[in-house]
Amino acid sequence: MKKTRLSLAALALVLAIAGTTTANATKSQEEAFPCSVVDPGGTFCLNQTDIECCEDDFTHEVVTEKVPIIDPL
Amino acid sequence: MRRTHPLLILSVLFAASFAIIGTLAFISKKVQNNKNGFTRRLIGAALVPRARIAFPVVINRMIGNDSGRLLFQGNSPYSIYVSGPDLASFQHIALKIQPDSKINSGIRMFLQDHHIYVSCRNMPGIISYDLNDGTVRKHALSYFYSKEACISKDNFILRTNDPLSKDPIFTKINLNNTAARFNDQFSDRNGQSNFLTDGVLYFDATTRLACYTYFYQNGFICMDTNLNITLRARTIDTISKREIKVARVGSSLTMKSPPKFVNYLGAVAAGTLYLQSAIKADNEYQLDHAENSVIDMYDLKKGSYKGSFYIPAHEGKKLHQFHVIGKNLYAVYGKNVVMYDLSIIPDHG
Repeated sequence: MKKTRLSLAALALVLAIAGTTTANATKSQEEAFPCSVVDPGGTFCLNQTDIECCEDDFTHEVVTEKVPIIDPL
Repeated sequence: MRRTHPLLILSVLFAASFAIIGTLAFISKKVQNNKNGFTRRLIGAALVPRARIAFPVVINRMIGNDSGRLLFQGNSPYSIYVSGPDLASFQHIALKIQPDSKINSGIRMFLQDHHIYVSCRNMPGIISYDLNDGTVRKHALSYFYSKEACISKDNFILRTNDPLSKDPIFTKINLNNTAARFNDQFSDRNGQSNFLTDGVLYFDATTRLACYTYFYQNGFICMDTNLNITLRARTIDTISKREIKVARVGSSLTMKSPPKFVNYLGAVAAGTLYLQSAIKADNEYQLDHAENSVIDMYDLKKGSYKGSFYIPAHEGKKLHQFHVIGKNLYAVYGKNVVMYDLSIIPDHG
């Protein structure tokens, strides 16, 4: 009985490790969007590319993603 | 109770863990290899690098070519870099423009005759710099814009907002009379945000067509220099448009979540649009698509698809800008610019 419990615990551990590994692998494949929030300090969006990320609703001044975008795809 | 050998249990667990991880990896790979419902006519041979040059700063884009010189925009609005078409060496040229904090970001440089036009989206306005005598002229605009293309000396097409409906439209301006603007009549006035139709504006001097490609939806449009639409074309991918959710933060609008690109940057030359696609075709290998930048070619007058090719990565990095001049393609990889031979591609020999 004790060994069965031990086996079940070990199996749970293996499943947890496998699950975490897969979740992390999937997560690392998703590109983090470099400018999904407005940065009032102006340090996040350096406004040198053509990809718009923020727009002033009143003046329509546009802030674009930071540069350089080496591999955005 | 029957006794089980501990070694057997461990072996079974070991095998089970491998089987689980393997199954999950297989499922994950299968999900990523989903068919996208289109194929590319890939040109088999790889582009051949002919020359390479390393600059001391990150090169933002190529400004243009003039009298056998290639001009590059670096990370400063107050200087440019010049090289020969063979990329053998470079020269740094300082632009004697009065320093202004408003032109420290959001600039694009254009070359027309012997003038450098420094488009300052955050000023907003355009500075004209005469390379021959160093004369500087500032042309302020009363409205912001997000894209620009120089169509002739002192004439630009801008992507800005309709003064009444606030929708994104194209406007033609002359720098000698910036108060006057001529708006296009074909853009949709439907209250959509700029993000949905965000993209890149180009001008092809050969066909004298301005062309606009979209980041998050299929297709591209072309217009003449009087802002008459000449073409609405589809790109070969099957993505009609990405869903974009807009969020408000203070007085600013931004995107709630990162939309995936359909098409990315491109270049136009001699009646052809070279468009970097983000979508893998069904007849491409996953690894080829992941390791190279795939470029689809379209005819700017007919909109027809002319084939595709790969631009390889350089020192493990993908390009972030490219330009086509004659038979050569210049790809920008951070501080490096690599020249490739396009003569292997039909119609470029």
